[in-house]
Amino acid sequence: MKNRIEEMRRERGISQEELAKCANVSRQTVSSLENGRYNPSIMLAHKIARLFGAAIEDVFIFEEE
Amino acid sequence: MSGSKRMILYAAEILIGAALWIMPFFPDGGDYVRGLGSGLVVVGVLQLVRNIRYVTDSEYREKADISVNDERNRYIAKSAWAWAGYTFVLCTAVGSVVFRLMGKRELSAAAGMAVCLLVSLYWISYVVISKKN
Repeated sequence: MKNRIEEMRRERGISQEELAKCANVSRQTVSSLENGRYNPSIMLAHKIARLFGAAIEDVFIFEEE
Repeated sequence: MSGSKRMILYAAEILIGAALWIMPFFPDGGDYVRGLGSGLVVVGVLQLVRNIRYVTDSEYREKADISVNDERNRYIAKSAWAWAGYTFVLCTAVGSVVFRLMGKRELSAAAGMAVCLLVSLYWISYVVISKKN
């Protein structure tokens, strides 16, 4: 699933480490999310969207196959 | 489990390991029991050292908690166990046939039973987990 995590993170001047700490996940998880290698659970997606002050659909782009 | 409870558990592990090493009550399996005791002592000491660090170092504790609760790590661990299970069943099933062809009936039977046990455990786990969810 595509997402705008990296874009929104850079806009806010947050490092991967800082975002990971706020979301209570490892830095590797944030990196995998940004690369699209890992899809988050709904709970984590909601947490990240809330940290950015945005809606889930603004952060994660769901494309029908 | 809290840090202090873990300390008690690991200390007990070390004591049991030491006791197994010292007591020569097992005439046939003496070396095996000693090896088991040594293993318990070593593992207990390593776990104790790691736990002391966990209790005293807040930064390490935070990293350890995140590592354990991280959903990607949990997903990777579950997937790894699943693959290990599939591979084990496949290798053991093939092994059972190979042992039979080699004339090693007991080994073949043991391998076959191991496959049956794992498949049964999988089926039971599936039923239990699907009822809970």
